[in-house]
Amino acid sequence: MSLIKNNKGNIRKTLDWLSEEIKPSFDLVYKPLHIDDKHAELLYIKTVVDGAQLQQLVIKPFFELGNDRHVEAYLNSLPNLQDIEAKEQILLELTKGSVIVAIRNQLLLLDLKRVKSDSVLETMIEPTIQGPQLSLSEDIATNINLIRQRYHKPSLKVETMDIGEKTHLTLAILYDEEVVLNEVLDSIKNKLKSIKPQTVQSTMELNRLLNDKKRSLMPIMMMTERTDRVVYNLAGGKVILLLDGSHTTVLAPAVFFDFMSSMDDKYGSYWITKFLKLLRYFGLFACLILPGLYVAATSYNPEVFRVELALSVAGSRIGVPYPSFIEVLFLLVFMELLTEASIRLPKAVTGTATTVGGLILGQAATEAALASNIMIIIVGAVAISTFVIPINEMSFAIRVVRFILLAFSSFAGLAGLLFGLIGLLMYLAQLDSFGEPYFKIYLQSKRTETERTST
Amino acid sequence: MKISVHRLGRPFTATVLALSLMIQSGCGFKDIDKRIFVLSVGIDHTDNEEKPYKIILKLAVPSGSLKQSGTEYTYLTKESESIASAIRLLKTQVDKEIDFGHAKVIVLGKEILHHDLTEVLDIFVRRRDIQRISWVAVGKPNAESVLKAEPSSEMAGSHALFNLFDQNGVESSYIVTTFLFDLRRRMLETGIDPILPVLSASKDKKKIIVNSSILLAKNKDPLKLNPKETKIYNLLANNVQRTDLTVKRDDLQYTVSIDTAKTSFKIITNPKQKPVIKMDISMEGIIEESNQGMNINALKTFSKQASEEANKDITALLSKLQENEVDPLGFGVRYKATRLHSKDTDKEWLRLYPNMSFDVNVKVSIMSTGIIE
Repeated sequence: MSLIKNNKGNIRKTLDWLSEEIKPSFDLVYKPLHIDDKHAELLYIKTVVDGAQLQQLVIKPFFELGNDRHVEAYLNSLPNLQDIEAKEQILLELTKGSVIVAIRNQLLLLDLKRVKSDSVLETMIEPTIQGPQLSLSEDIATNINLIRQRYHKPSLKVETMDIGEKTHLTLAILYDEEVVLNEVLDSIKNKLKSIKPQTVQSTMELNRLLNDKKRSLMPIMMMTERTDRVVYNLAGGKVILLLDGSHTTVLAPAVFFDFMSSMDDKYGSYWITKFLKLLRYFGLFACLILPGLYVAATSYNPEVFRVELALSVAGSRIGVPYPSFIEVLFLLVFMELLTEASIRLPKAVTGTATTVGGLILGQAATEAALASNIMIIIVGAVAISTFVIPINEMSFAIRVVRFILLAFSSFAGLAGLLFGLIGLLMYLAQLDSFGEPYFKIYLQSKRTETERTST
Repeated sequence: MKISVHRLGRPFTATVLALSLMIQSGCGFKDIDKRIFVLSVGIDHTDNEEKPYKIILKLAVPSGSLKQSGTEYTYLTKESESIASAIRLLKTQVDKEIDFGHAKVIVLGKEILHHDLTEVLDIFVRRRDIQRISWVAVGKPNAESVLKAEPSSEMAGSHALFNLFDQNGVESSYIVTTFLFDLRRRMLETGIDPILPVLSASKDKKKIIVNSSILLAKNKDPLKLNPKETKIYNLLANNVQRTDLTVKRDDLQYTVSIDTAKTSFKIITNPKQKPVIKMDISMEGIIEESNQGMNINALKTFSKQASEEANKDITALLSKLQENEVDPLGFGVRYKATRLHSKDTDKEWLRLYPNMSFDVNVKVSIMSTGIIE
């Protein structure tokens, strides 16, 4: 209900102040409505207001209803009516797409937003074979609608707040009150209140903003665009953050193994999913250690593998001018460039880039004896197995770790590689995501796990 | 200005460090194409008292296209007063680092067996780059001819000598395999004696035959085992699963192919009785070849005949070992392990062994007469 229920002069002053603040924007509309003894004034920004709705809900009834008392009662009964707390709030709401109606010495704020980005997109970042094919939209109301449609439970709470000193975007915090970890929820809320970013454009920015460590490698929140994953994690007691204008959500807390799971794991039959998981972890290890292993095995410990392998590696390295780690580094960097290029390039050109880069470069590099054949195989295997990691954030992190392990094995061979792996394990084990151990392995049954969280 | 320099300081140092990494590497760093792999090492005895050892290294020279041209081998030989100095000198004959990481076969010339083997093998167990799981064999007529033999069946990139021993290639009941660590153990431990396979190279260097073995008892001359004895030794030492047994009775002659064999023995020393080694051998197999029709109902008879035949052979070998006072099967070790230890246990055993009697109990079960009726 309106708080500013003062005399005519006061309302006039408020309206004047509002238009002063917004001017000289071309899209500010000040429209007095007048017929017989009915009188009202509208003030809104036309580019963010849904014109048809305005016509339908406000202007038309104004002319049809008997007198302005009726109109006031009618407007007051609209579900779009917003509370007015302060002048500044009205101003903010106007920029978001609300309409101010001044009628009978009263200011009414109606939410008549026009959102052009509410179409639901197809899953692009984490596609699965089974499971829903549509992800979220870029409009927060639509997103909450999509999630609520899949999670019918009264204990699902949606809290909203504004974030960004300049952009004032709506941020929604979703959780299931019954199973959520309260410490995590409080910690997230406190952190969200304490950060004061100028702008927040994507949910993934929150990942960095909410991390206590300024320089971190591993993501401590999981980004997803899949509604089924959101619902699965809601039921598991996680907190979901939604940001207006972003078609991805972030989930917290996240453990390392979350990043290695795909939603298909829930849809396939038991042994198939077990096999796929095994494959995925194999891929993880392959893309982590293969470059390092190559350097270690060719330059430090060629006795570890079979003599046939040693001889064929030695044969394929004939004429390669630089030591093995430069060779690996050279090809890995080019592979990373290729990956980066195919992300940034327009879709139409990506095919050409991969063909030229992958096939021709690889072939030419061996022909010119800049790299050995076996190296090309390894780089190919590494590239493929990187893409097996289902969550993009993790796969980026692994790409970086790979270079660290390569450096370790260039210094000390297999021992160094092992040392680096132990270091990685220690690093992962000391991380935490909002108080939850990052490398936690859920050995308890699902029931005991949720029982603990629900109390 | 000052601030900007300060700010640049750390990234600058980091960049310089990172760039210097490009040209640095650990101290053990040596690329695989700068190494040359020794596949087998041969040691021969020379008549020269000054330089008693002759070292032969078989080196693999990798080639770019392994499939077409295959691996080529090259050989280095050097005579010297010690093996280590010979290797040092051999290093000056090649342009690459000699890598012993894959030196998996050590061939000792027949003549060198009269030397003190602990002295000869010392370098191999002392050097860290030679694997303890290398196989040791005796070369006939000498190590050099065995190493330089290139059997016609040898394929690109796979060394014939490895295939003989590693059970990935040929599996034969005539081949004894002895690892370096095992040889060393058998040389030091009392109550068990080393046994080495004999590799004999043919004159045209196109063939290597390995079907006999040599026993090296401590402080005794080497004792040769012929192929048949070698086969039985393998059976008794539980080395082989697959072997065969030929039975001759009057006109009937048949061969049993043994699929599974199991040997166990017990040393029984009762104060009042003669000490006895009780040996139980059970074998299972089928008839593989015969010069007459075999009656399937007579399998029991055949089994019995085969058991008797095997019993005879085994007892003969055991007696031969006993007569020569060699003990490759480790009776002595078993004796020491199962008796209360005193400082005289070793001597006790040496006294007992020549007087032991053997109670061999062979049980051959012939399962079928093959797939023909």
